[in-house]
Amino acid sequence: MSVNWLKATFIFLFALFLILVLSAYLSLFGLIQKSSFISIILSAEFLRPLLFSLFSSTTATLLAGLFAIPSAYILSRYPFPGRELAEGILYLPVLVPPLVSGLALMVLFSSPAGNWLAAQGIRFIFTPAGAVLAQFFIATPYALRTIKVSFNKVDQNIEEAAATLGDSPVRVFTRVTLPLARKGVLSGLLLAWARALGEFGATIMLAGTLARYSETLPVAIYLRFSTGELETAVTMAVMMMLAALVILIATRRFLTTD
Amino acid sequence: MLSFTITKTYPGFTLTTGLKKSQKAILLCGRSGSGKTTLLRCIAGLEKPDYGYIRFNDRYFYREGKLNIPPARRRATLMSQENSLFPHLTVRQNILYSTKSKNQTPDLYYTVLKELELCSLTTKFPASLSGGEVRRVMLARSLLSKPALLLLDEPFTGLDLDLCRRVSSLLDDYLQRYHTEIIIATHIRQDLLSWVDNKLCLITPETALAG
Repeated sequence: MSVNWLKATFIFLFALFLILVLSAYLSLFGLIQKSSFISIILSAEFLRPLLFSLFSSTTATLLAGLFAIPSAYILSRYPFPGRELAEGILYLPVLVPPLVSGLALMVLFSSPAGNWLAAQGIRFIFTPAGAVLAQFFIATPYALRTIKVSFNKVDQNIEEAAATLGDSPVRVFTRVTLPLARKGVLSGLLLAWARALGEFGATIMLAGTLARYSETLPVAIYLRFSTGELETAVTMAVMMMLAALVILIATRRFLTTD
Repeated sequence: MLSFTITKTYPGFTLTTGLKKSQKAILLCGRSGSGKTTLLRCIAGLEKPDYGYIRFNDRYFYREGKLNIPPARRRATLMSQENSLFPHLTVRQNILYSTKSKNQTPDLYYTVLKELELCSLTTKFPASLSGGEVRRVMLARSLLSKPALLLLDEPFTGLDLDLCRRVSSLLDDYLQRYHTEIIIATHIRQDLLSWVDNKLCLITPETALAG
């Protein structure tokens, strides 16, 4: 009997990676103390950053959609000189460490232009708005990439047919392109939301670590860990993981049954 | 009334053609690769000619690069060679796509369904249709849009002889009833379009000027 070595090797590597990921996250559960678990998850020091994280990541995702959908359409449909360069620049937040992106945003908003905005009451440094901006900045390229691929897959013959049937470009986009790219758009936004929820590096640089003000859940976990409150940090981490998992599964189910 | 003189160049291919004065129906002949599809796409507004003009009913669609009316405002429906049905809509929704009234189904819808043998397909989605069924639904959708100019690119492809006859007869009736001009590009079953032959000037894209 011949052995399919390629298949066997791939299955082995797949299983090894799966075990590594699963065991790493499951190991967190071992550190949870049943006695203090309920009191931690009901405490304000957990609920406040959790609610702020849900708010900031959802706002950042909506903003990501606002910018990523038109940008992806431009990149997918309209060739222009320097398009590849422009696309590369838009993907920079994925390529460079989030800390660098956060530093860049902080320097930008410390510049005269940033100071002028601050004088108008628009402040991003060490504010909740800064956390939203940092998450938006990091998460948008993830949505952009997925949405652009889904626009690329829409057959342009179909869009042209709608145009000759009397649809204006706006109606072609809303009646044909967007419905056909719907799953890709939703997947892209979901990916952006997950990335925004877990964002740490850029957020801590721009929004700081001001407890009860601009503290997101990942920042709260880091702060508890750095002050030796390991049990609290682990409980927060597990709850964040479960929340993300539940929302991910629910959205995936919606995407596959729709 | 359609008239045009256009030049369109691609690497290794130049289309130069013209029509002084159109009839109600035009049979567009020519070998494969002669530019039939390019000409139809230029008239529909999906391609921009390099030079010339396209004029329809005293209105310029295109003139020397200075004016180019977008496809949606030309009232020129193109039935292309490729499957261009909307995959997220049923056959019925596809056919009625450009119908303005959402409450009232036009009589033409039922006529076309019957003539093109589509009655049993109305609730299906395009992914489950055969090639010939796709062509018939595309034709039905084009007819229901009631365009001023109907551009049909190889409408007989994938249809058996009986259906080709019915399509030809349906188009003939359609022309009598509606204020529409038709251009049919086909290299097969031209014998079925004798009603066109009586009324039109025959052009091929290679011919410099006809009509």
